[in-house]
Amino acid sequence: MSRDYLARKLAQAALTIVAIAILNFLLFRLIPGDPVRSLLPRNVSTQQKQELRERLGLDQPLLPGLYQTPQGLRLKVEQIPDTLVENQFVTYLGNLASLELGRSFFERKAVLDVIADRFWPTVILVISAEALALLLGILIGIRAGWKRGGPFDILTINPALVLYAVPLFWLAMLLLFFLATPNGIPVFPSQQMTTPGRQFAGPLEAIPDVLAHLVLPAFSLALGLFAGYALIMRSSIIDVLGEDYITTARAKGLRENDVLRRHAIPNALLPTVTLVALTFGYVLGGAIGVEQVFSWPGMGTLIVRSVTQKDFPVLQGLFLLITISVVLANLVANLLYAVLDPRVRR
Amino acid sequence: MNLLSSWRRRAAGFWRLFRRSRQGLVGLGILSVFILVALVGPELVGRVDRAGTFDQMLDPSGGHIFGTDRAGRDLFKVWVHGTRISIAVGIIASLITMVIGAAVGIVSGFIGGRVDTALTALSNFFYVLPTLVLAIVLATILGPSLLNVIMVIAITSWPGTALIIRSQTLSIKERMFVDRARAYGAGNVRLMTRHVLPNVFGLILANTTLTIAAAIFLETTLSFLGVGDKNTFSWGRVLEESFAAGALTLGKWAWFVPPGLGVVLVVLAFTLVGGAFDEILDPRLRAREAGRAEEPPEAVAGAVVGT
Repeated sequence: MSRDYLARKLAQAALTIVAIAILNFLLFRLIPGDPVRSLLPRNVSTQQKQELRERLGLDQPLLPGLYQTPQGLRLKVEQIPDTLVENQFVTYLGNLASLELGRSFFERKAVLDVIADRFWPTVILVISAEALALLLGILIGIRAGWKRGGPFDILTINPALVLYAVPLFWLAMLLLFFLATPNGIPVFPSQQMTTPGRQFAGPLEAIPDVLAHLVLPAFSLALGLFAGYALIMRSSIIDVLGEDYITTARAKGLRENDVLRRHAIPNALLPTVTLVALTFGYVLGGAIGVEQVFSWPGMGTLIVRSVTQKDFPVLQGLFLLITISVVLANLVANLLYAVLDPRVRR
Repeated sequence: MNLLSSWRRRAAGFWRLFRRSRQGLVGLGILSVFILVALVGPELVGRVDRAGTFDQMLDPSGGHIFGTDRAGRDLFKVWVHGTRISIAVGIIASLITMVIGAAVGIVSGFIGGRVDTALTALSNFFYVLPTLVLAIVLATILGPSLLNVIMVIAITSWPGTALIIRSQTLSIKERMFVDRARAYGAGNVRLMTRHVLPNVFGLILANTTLTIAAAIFLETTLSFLGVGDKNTFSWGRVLEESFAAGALTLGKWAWFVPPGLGVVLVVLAFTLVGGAFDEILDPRLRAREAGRAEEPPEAVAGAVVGT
């Protein structure tokens, strides 16, 4: 990978993250209504309101000279020099730099702590679903592409296409209905990450219980994801099979199995592997619905909760965290692609 | 040759190619049924009792083939009305997406230079952001209404269209006829609307069909997560209500299976039709799927875009 390529990709990612920080600021300033009023009970004095306003920095202008008034935005040109530093945007950037994301409206905790509690459950869910989906997708894609048009191809690719059109949360609902309620065969628990009320001596003791709770959410997510991997794997196997080096390998007298294992698969894996990083945002999106159905205590259910409770600081923190991680995943995909595929190294 | 007959000739050529795609025909078949339900269904089954009735939580029977909900509403009626809302939201949101995406893509690709750099950077930026998360945040900020959901879908979906149309515009710009028209004194606006637009129109059509699928998908998810319109019963809204009311544990499968199945079939149908359009427009893709080139690519492209 050339240094130019690396530098360009890093600069792009950095710029995108700056743009996300600005968008995040602007978006949450668009919210109609006075945040102070939603934070405090009705019967507090005007002075108390003013104090909170100052503490939150809401008495400052949005940008130098740009004030938010009940009548809308007002630009006071004469104030610009005085408010070059003392404005909400600079304060926001400063807070961001020190990872100060504010406090939750509803839990008496810092936003970062609220999110930290929900971080690992989502990571566990997403990683296990990705692993399952990749395994299924790659194996099915290889067989389907290798014998294109054959019975295996037709029997797997058509269902995969249909799965592509299934909302993940609905798939989760069906799995829950059939495998976790008495209406079907209740083999798995339906809610939460552990059995409610059960005490564990240590984290290790909890593993079997967590795994039992993980099966259905992970499968719901994986079933929605594997279709994409299978289709890409299939088409890249088909592409690779048309390449000259495959013909050469066959001409050398290699057995078909070796052609597939040594030449076709390694080259066809590349697009599928990078797809994992590229679809990271989609996976996190899918996880929201799945978590909601299974009450999985992750960031997805936290998003839904902060939406219904109008807990804007938490929503803002989650938006920042998720979008930035998606940008970083994209960066990884680009760099991975460059490392693995010599043709991209420019 | 007048414009109308040229369009008719083009449409006929398009249909000839479309007819060959089995997937496209299957999609078109499913779609016709659902469009028919959406167009005339709600009037045929009559209005849904907003206030509800006393026939609450009934199981499916002859009188109520999907049963009734907590408020005693007939779930079949609700489903039929949901068909119209979900499909309408998908189509309207995609039309807005198409207009924004096509405008940005054509201007960006045709004007080039700094305009292109700025617009492409903007498209890329919104393209990278995770759609659902951005949509949830926007919908929460704007407040729950059908119009807002439509706007949110358009705002989060246009970059894909813009980037595709831009790259197509770039290649059209280099063709002879554009230079010829410019030599005759055609200005940028005229060139873009009269020469570039007709040539990217096929692509816009294919892309919009695929966008409708994505839009219906997104609306369903947003409604299920509770940021949709609380007063209209789209399929997603029905799914949310059934879930919140415990339809899963109560065994009321007829509450949540039909709306989900509706989404799957309609999204699948739009994807199949859009995929068939794409194949017609991209002869390389078609040749690969068929395993051989059936017609020289130029002839096929000409039949569709009329160059």
